[in-house]
Amino acid sequence: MSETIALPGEIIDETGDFVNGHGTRQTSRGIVSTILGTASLQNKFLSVKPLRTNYQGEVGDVVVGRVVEIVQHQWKIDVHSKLFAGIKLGAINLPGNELRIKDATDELNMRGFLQEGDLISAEVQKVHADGSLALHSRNLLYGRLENGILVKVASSLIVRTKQHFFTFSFGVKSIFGLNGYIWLSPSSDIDINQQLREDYAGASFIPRTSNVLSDSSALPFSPFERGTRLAMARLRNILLLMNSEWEPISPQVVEELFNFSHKQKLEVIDLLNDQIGHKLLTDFRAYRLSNAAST
Amino acid sequence: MGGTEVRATVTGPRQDHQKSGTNKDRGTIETGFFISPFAPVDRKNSSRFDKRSKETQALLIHLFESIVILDQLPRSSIQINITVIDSDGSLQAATINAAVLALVSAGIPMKSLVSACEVSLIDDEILLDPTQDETYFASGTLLTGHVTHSNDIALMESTGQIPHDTLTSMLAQAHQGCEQITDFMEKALQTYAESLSGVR
Amino acid sequence: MDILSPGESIYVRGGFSQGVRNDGRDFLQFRPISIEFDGLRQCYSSSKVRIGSKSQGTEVTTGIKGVQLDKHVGTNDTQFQSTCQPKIQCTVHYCPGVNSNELTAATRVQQLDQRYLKHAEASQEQGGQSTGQDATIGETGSGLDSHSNTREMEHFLSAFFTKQYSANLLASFQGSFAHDWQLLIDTIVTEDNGSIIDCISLSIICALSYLQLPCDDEDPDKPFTLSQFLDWTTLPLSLTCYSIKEAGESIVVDCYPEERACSVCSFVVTTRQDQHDITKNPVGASGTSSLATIKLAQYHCRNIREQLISALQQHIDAQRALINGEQSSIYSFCISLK
Repeated sequence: MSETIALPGEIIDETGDFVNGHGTRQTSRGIVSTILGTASLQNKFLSVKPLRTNYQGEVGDVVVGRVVEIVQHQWKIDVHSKLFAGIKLGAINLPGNELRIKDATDELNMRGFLQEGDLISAEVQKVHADGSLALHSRNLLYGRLENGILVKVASSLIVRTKQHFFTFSFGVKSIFGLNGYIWLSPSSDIDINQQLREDYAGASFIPRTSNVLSDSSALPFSPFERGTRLAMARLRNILLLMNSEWEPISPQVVEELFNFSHKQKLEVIDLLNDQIGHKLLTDFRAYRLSNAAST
Repeated sequence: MGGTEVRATVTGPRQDHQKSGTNKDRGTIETGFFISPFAPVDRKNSSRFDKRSKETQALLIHLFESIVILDQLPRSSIQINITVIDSDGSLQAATINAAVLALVSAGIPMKSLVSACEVSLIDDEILLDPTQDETYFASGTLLTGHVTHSNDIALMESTGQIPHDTLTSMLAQAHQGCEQITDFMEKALQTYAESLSGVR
Repeated sequence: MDILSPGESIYVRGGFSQGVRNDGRDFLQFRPISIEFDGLRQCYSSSKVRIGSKSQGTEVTTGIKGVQLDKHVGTNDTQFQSTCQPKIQCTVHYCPGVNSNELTAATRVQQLDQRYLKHAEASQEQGGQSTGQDATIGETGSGLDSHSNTREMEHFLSAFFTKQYSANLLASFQGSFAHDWQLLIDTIVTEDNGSIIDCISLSIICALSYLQLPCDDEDPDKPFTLSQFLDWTTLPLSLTCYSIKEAGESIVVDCYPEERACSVCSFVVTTRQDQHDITKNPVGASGTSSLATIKLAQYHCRNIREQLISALQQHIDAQRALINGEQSSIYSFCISLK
């Protein structure tokens, strides 16, 4: 069945042959869509996939989020969903023995690991009945994010691929969170806490030694190459451009567009301009079409 | 709508900060309504808290609580903010239409679309979509919100005096007007949806 | 204080030390500005200014209405000087939740405490190092940010701009009689992504630059003559400057909220043709700044103002030539400042 656009309140099926899935509801007149989206049929389920919505969340998704609150024994994370996600004390790796039972001291020291405002990357462990997510970061891939830029795009634009941790060829590594938050950082990141990392082997979050928030101006920063910074700025602008022009975002396409913008001899700042950006993307789409046709 | 320009913004659904237990099963809707001081013909120092704004806010909440499927959004809240930039009649109708379109484009589940329009009665003449001057001289004005693709009325409010026998004909006229608006809204949404999905 | 993780803050400050900002701009570069004139029918003049791109920008709409006051009558073709009393009201229409992070009440209190602490430390530090050349600008208040009360923000902005335009504007034109006017300038901020004050200031100037008031309305047969009002190039322009310490004593303009969170101090410089006024900006970091930084800010703001005004002038002249005195339509253009 070809994909057709459904409007809320529109009757998409009157025959009664199908069962209503996501984005639809059953009424006396038939199956009616509840959102603006594309209707599709799978087995006997007639569902409507929303064109644009906030992040829904599925088990196994990689997300990037910001800590908003600390309650009892979990941190509340904002992942641009309708409810905050939670990451429990037991869902992270603590320094020392991994299988250590979490005790009351750990609970009091929660702020030492993650504070309000921190950014983390994690994986969705479970989706609760009300739609809120439970996250975990029991993997060295995930953890607190330092030294980089957070870019917010629409979650519907992020394409589901196998790879969400991607290192670009121009010295920038990225995490494409499926919730629309993308984290960019230089791949030549010299770990400031090198010593600490060795001491706390196996831990996903290294505890902070001081109350960082009041001291953040005193934190040392490692100056990277100016070229890398400009590359990151360009990447940031490109991601925002793709967001406003509603272009699906996947690491490969982003890299192609990055190189394309170099070919068009556009400055980093030019990408902030709406008209120039629109033209770039139109040219890029034409270029991809012609490439696809020739191969 | 003609000379009336209304801008609606929808934020959410987001985590609701209220600790009350009433919204454990359903979501809540909050609204904000603001008329810019330069919008009406005579500049008025309007604020968010005057009677008119509060009335319209309550109207919107009342309408959308029945239209938006809040059971799917427990413990979340949706914020609808309306700014009136230019006002020349049919203000509440324009507000409702703008808010509906904003909710749809935000991907919030709704039972159906709602289109609204106003009709006025001046000297036994029924006028559809009156301007500010026409509303001023009218003896009565009727605002209706129709549910698309059905004969249901989601909202009805009247001001002034409307004689009994004219009410039915005014409703019929309003129904026709709303159908025109529905066509317009659906076409606009279709174009919008195609621009989003056609790109893929 | 805007919410920003230490991780992001490290990156931004590292960028400052190398002269590269998060989006690749230089310190004194503005985002692209687009301006639309005369979009509102009910007003004598209006403008809509947007700093930044479609998806991430600050947008402000200004509308000007007028009320006729006293009338001066004279013989034909007298050169009149009519005065115009501006009354400015600023409304900030915030969509809470957009461009601001969620915080609970408890966390907010914590943030405020931290901020006071930070300021105390900063002033101690400065006090120890300086040789008395420091200037504390204004008082250090609790500060405003995107979480604080919208009303407080509105009050501040209204008061700020009313003060700027408190002096009567003069205009001169030919005719048989002229009116005194009271101008009612209203501004609404529809989107906020940094640089609110700059945007509002620019919007008011644009609206005033395009203002045409009717001057001849007694004779019903005579056609409406609209006249050029005042010399808008002398109007005050406010720019928000943030001082940072990573690159010596430097100034950054047009900051995003994350850059704002990493700055030491911010202040608003209002430049007229020759004058400068400096006020403490309650939005953003509270801190102290040295006299040298302030002088630098004044110098830079004067340059930026010249560039902006001349860019605007070019466009307005070009558009006027096109329209030939007819009632204008909506048009927009983009300025990129260097």
